[in-house]
Amino acid sequence: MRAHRKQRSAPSPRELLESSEKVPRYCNLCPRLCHHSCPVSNAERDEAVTPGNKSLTAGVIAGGGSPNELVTDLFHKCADCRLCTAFCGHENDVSATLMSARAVAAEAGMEPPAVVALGKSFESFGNAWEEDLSLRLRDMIPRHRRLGVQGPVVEERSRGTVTSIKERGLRVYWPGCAAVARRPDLVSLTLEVCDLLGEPDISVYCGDDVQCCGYPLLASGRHEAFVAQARKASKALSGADVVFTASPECAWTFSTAWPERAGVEPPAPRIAHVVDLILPALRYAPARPPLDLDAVYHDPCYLGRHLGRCDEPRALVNRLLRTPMAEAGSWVREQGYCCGAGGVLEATNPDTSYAVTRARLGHLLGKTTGPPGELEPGKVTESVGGRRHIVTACVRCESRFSELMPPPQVLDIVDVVALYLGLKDNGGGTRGAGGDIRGK
Amino acid sequence: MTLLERLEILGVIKNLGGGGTLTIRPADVHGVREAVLECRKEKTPVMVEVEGLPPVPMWSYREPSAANANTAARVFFDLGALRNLTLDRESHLVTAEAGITVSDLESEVSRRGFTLGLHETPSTPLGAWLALAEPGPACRRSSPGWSPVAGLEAVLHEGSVVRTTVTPRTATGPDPKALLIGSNGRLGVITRATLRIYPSAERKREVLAFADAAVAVGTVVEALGRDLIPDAFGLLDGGDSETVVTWDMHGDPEMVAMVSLTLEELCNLNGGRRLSSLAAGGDRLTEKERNGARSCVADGAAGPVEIRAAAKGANGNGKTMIAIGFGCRWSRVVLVRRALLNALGPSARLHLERALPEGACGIACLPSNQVETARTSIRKAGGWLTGDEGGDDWIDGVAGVLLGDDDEGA
Amino acid sequence: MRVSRQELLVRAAEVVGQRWASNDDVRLEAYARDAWPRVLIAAREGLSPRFPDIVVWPASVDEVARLVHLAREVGAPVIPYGAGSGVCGGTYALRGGMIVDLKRMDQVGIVEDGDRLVKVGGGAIGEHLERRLATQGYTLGHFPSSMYCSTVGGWVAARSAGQMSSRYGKIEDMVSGLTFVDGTGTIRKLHARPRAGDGPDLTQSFIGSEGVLGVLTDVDLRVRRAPAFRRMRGVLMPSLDSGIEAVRGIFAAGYRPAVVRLYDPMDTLVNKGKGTDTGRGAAKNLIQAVGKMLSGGQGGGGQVRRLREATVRAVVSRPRFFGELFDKAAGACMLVLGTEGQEERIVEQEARAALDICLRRGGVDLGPGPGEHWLEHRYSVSYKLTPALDLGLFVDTLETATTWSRLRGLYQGVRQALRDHAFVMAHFSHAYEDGCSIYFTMAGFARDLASREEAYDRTWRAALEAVAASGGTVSHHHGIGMSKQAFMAREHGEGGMKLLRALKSTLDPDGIMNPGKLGMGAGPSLPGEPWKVSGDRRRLREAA
Repeated sequence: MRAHRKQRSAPSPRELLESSEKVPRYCNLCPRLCHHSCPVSNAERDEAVTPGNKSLTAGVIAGGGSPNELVTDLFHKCADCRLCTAFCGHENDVSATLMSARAVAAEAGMEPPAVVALGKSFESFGNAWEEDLSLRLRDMIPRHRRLGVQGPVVEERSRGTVTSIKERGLRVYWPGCAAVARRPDLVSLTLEVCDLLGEPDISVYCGDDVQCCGYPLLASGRHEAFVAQARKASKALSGADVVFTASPECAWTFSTAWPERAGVEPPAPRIAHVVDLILPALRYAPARPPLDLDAVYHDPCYLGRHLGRCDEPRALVNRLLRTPMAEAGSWVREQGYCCGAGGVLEATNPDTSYAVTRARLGHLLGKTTGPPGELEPGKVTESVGGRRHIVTACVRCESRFSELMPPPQVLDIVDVVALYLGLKDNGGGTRGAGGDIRGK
Repeated sequence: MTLLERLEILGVIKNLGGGGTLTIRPADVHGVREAVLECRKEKTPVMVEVEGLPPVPMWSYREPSAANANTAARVFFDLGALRNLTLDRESHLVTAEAGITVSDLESEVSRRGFTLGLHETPSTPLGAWLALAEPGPACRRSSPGWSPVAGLEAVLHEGSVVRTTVTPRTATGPDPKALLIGSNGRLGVITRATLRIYPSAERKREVLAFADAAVAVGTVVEALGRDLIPDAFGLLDGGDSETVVTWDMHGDPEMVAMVSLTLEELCNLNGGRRLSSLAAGGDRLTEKERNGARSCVADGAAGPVEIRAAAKGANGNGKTMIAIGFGCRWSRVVLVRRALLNALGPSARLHLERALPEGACGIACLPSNQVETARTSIRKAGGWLTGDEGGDDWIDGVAGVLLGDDDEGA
Repeated sequence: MRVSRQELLVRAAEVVGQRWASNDDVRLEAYARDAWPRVLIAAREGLSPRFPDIVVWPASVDEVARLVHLAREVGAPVIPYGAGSGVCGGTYALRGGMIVDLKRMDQVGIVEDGDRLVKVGGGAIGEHLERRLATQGYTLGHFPSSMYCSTVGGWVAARSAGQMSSRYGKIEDMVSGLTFVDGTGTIRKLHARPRAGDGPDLTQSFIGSEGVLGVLTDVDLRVRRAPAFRRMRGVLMPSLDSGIEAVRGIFAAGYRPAVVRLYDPMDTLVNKGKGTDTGRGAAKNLIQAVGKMLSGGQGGGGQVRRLREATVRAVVSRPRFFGELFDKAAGACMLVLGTEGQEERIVEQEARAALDICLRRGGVDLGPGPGEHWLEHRYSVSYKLTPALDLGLFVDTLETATTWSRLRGLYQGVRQALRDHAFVMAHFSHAYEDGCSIYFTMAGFARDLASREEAYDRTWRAALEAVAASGGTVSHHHGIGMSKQAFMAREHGEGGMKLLRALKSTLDPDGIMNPGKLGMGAGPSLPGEPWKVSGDRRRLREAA
């Protein structure tokens, strides 16, 4: 068992903002070569919202300016997707700068109402979903997999009776609050898949004390609450050897945001995504005919760009399909385009957030006309490019697409694996259109 | 022109008060300018005279200042003395004064191993040729927006001189050349132009024949889509006989051969046949090609303005044939042809002579008593006619503003 | 303006809706600037040009027309705005007024293969358009280095050129038709038709008008099938002369490579010399170090970095001495060639023939590497100005063009004129049968803002004087804006300017369209006059 790792003191929002002073300085002098890449400014068509302008405005605040309502609003017009950084010759991380700027603004009492509401939800429920999600989780997780729950919760396993992560030293599946809130079935399905692929030794943290990695707090500028959440969660998960998450955002938060912004070490030596768990185990999958699934893949920003997992999800899904997945034009891999649900944009700028989603659906469905990428709001149910399924590896992306376009099913990679393994069918058991998609 | 002659001319202009006309033959741009300035002072309308064509009013005076204008008098400019020519071999450019005819210019440059590369070289003075109608882009490989004019000099009616920088391309505002060329001299007198030229020795012409006009057009569209872009082009509608496509190229012989080969393959694929592959000497079809298509297009019947076609050897059955200029997108060529045939019967013919990526321009040949029917049919089928492009209001506006300046100046 | 800013906002909001009209300081600040390096020099010190009065985002040509009617009624200037990438000060609200951002008008139509035309909204961002065309199997072939941050409307307004213009032409070659709203609020359509060659070419009379004649709302563009084959090549030419001759030879033979970029000895040494024998001695090492610094490669921290920065400033502030020193060190010239198209054998033939022409003039074949490297980093140049400006240098680029017979004179003339003002390097790109463009990069240094601005102005005047004297055009593809308008009369002659002003009076009788630009009055008319941009130097901090 590893010793509990030490915590460093967390930098203050202003320190974080000042530490990235090169970012606004360069953005101020650049002709804004990331202009085209920002999903938010593309949706709003507003020069003020371009990454360069948001960054230089953050620079004014870093230089001692006081944030007002206008600039705070600007700082919140970011989906944290970091596509701008992918196009920056100087690798400026505008998204991180804006995170810091939002925190500085919050310290000065400037918070949009949606952020205040989000904070209240965290205070009451420990997550952003205004509901105690641990109850849901406990309902769906078999007792032998539960961790972090008071009372007699475990049963005999290969290593003997255990009562906590520390004793167990096991691999932990962290579904993330979005999955529990929006795709609880996916959580169960993931565990079933693991069982079938010879990975039964996966536990799930079900405690009511820690229900979120803290990302929404970080993204909304609630710095202090984020640091506190990180510390709390670190303590709860401490001792795990590896944490697999269904949420790329959680993975990034554990591995990057905690150490950099909260002074907290990651909860395990290895933080990984579910794809890293399933892909190697796939060789143990029973041989079955490939699926006939007319699908296109959406790279979640945090998985593809931040964690560098572009090939793995493709390899996983394509191994199960008769025909490889299509690509979303040129907005793919490290240049993947946000689904619109990134950061807390959904809460602070819902109209913009959904406009981004429509734009992304345009890429995914092979729409070739109209404004760059964007589908008209009334027409999103049409599969313009003839593609019927979108596959992704992030619950937030998947839920967002599902909201706007039911008929071409939106699937998580775990859904595809489950389809392949016969754990679900494409009709009754899951959402979406019926029909046998199994290859003959 | 000596100073004395110049003063004499100016004196005559001044004394035209009661009416009458004067033809001036300036020796250079300064002569043009001085005469123009004097005309302006005396409010005498200026005409640019072109041999064989009606004089073109360079400007006229509008109400209410007409009361002050000497409308009875006219000064004609004969630019026949402006015949200087310089060749920039390195840059493939020729600068010529306005009085030299296009055909003479072609002869001059071809003696030096070049050609203007135009689809026709009329015996119109260069200045008039440019003022009356820009020759228009042929279908240069270099760019679809290609214009033969790289630089221009002109004298506006109030005496100031337009002298554009001679450059392959520029980003210095709207192109003044584009206003002056084709505006019928209403804004000024063109005195000199720099034209792009091409080595004449390296030209080649492919002549292809197709049983069906629609297949011929489809082949052309496919060839253009594959970047086989000609330097000059022709499509002769054969009516009930074969449709002939001519494809001129210039450049390195190896490259031209390769383009020819690809073109021939495409032609064969579409069931066409190669009539000939010739060194392209002239600017018109050879007799053989014309007979092959039994085209109604006669010598010289290829101009942007309505002209009478001699219709030698054509299917006009002895009727007087008229050629009207038209243009349409590629997707409409077959429709326009069908509309014409439906409306006018089998004697109607199309001759496309400028291929651009998005469509073609040419002439429709038809019996002279059916012009209006033809116009209606072409427009209904999605084509347009020479003159539909408009622009008169712009030119009138610009001329009016310049005239307003003139009034203020007076 | 005959109404208050607030009233203008209210009335404009009646046209476009409240969501799409703003006069808040965050927006006004953002729209007060573009990418003119002279203003970036001031922006480094936290200064901004004068703010416009309002910003509006119309969604249709009808809304644009109604906005222009409103502007005309109240006497408000109208400044069309794309994505603010212009480098000549073409979008400044010199007299306040209404910024009309066109990015909501960014529709991309379907290409029909027969006609290969596509209708595109003026507000479409270049990279979006090209990616969209790619999904249809086409390309516009227009790749300016501002691809990521410029709009189609901006391209047409400034007669933009892409890096592959030698094959695909400049933007004016690609426009078949367009729609704009003139200064009277009239919607004018110039139809997408192959010109029959009669009458004046109105399309070319509008293209390049930089907003002074009207607001461009959509454009019909000629597109090509996306190339199926491409061959890239690098050739080291023994001298600039041999390089120029090779390029001229390629075009004289009728070839149209998509990419032709000949770097002068200095540019070769600074940017392309890695791994090639392109220079001599210690000066070579110094110039490469300076080049790396200017490109943002300032590694190391603390004292090392400060020492390096001081070195760059020292070099750049003594252009004559170091320029002559570096000239002695410089040697060969890098030439990058690229051919592409639909037919493999034609692409191959073109590549082979172009290479042969170079080899016959003493070139050394470097293989596809340098060409492929260029292609991969084709937009990198745009990032390079930032670190240099951040160092307190002034940096800018001048793109001129002339005929082949005047090309060497132009090149030498500009270098000679700038030897006391700025550190200069150049490359030759955008080649044609009759001539070629030269792209000069100029860098200088002065200690404080005032002297830096003065030095910048002095450098530009010297450069443009030399261009005009050598018979070059003062702009090949950046446009005029404010920065070059004093030279418009030299470009077109006195009569040319009268003609253009008459055209403006015809289409914009009240002079409300983008006033003070393109030599259409109310800007500096003499080369010696200073540029007055920062009329209202407010800081966002004060507004916050």
